[in-house]
Amino acid sequence: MQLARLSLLNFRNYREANIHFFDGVHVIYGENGAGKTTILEAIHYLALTKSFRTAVDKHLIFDKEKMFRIQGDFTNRQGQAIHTTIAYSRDSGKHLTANGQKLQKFSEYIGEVPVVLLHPADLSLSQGSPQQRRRFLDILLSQSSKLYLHHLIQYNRSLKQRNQLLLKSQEAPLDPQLLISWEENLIHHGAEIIRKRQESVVRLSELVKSFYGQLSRKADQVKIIYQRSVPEQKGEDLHDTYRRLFAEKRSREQAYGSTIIGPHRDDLLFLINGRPAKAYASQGEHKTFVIALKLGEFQHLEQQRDQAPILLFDDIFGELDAGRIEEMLNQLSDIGQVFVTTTSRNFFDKISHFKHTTHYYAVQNGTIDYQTETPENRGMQGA
Amino acid sequence: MTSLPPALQELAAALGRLPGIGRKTATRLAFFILNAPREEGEILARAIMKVKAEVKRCSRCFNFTESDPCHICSDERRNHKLICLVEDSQTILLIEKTNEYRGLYHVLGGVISPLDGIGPEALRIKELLGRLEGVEEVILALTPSTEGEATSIYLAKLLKPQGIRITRLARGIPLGSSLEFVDELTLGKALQSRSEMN
Ligand SMILES: [Zn+2]
Repeated sequence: MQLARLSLLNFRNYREANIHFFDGVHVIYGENGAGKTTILEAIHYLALTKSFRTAVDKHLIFDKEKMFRIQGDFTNRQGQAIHTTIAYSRDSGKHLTANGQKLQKFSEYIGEVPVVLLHPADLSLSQGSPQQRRRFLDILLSQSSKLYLHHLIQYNRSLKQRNQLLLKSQEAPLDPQLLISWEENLIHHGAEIIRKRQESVVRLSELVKSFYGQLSRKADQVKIIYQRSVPEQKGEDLHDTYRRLFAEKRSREQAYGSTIIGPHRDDLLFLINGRPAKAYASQGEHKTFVIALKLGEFQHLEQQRDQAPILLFDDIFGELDAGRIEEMLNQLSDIGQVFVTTTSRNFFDKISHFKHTTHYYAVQNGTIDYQTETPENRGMQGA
Repeated sequence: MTSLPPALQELAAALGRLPGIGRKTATRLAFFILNAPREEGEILARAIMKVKAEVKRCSRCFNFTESDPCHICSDERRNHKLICLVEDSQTILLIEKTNEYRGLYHVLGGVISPLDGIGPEALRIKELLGRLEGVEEVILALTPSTEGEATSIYLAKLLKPQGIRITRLARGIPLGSSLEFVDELTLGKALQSRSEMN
């Protein structure tokens, strides 16, 4: 997937910008607060119709303006052009247009422009909350399957509805059939989510194992296990297990006022040599794990969509040095397009054999300027 | 900023309560009506009065009608043993256009949605139960949203014990699309190949 042109109107601190991109690595440098991350945020927004920094779209509008607009011209591996425009206005909300067609459902579009983001918050993926790991998995699967995203949206809606019923049942007795109707909905969509996650985690685990081995150059055995609250039972259909668990937990759920079984409570267990990374891994191992996980995400998406995802590295150099990033890129056969934000322009100059074409963009106070491409002789200078 | 004359404000506020009309559009429409010839305004006002006075709901199926029972409920050539359950009257128009359906209808008046405070008691379920005598089949044709699905499941469980065949539209309908956008052909096919609900 390649983004040839990005234009911004009233997006964060950019009044107006029109930027061209190329093959390879794009280094976007400037001081903190200048608007580096905003470029990555805009690309992410075009891909997933959401920011990774805020859930409140109106915070993305320049000052007191009424609306913002982001446009991107993409070309996929098959040579097809995708022109995406997303506009958000305080009055009428968000509108998405892809190749001139206005889309009512964003879920029809998500996945067309696959992205993989690595930002500081990801570095706690293996140590942080289950919620963070579910989010990781959901973003990956939503981009690889529109059907998954459909089930996820329906599931989350049904979950809210059933939780509302459970809360109300604390005040007045409830028609049990009503609760069961929403349970059937949750079972229908939840079972599809569980099935798809289970199948994908097996594949992801293989990819991560291989990347981890290459990155650590050790014979460590890495594995990812999908931990489900609705387990697989021999000889019992998943829908029946699900139904049985609902029947067992219903009164407890009424007491809690919320649904306690289902994919929204599941987790991923990361193992290194059979031991949970969360409890036993060193900080170095955690970092390697997260990088391997992100590479796994990239590869999984590439296989599913037949597109190299756009890689976004946001401000991670306090945690990972250029050497790590290079190592990471070297694992991939087709890096597609990479966007990196950093405060230092000569970030990759320390690496003498950096083999990827690099383009530099200077960001200052809501403006971005294309500087140069890699000088041909940089390799010699750096050495 | 000078404010609008009160009568104009009142009109804009009334128009602003219509679905899909924001404050700005409402003001624009109010000015349009004010600037239009007097007859234009009277035509609009009369049409609104007339529709409120003459169109009511059919006492059997709750579709909008000027005669009670409506022309569908009183049509002896239609199959009175078959009832198609819809969310609103607009869906009846869509289904009628397909020319695939010769049974009766029942307008439920919405779908169950706890988040919006809509429970079964807010819908015309009791009215449905009251007209099931001699009915052999109920087709559930609610929007394929989570709320429509849950409502269908609830009704299927409620109606099954009455010994009535419960079917629903075939899932040829595009994923998650609301019934309004389904073209006639798809809807026609979905009606023909409806399936039994368990
Ligand atoms: Zn009628």
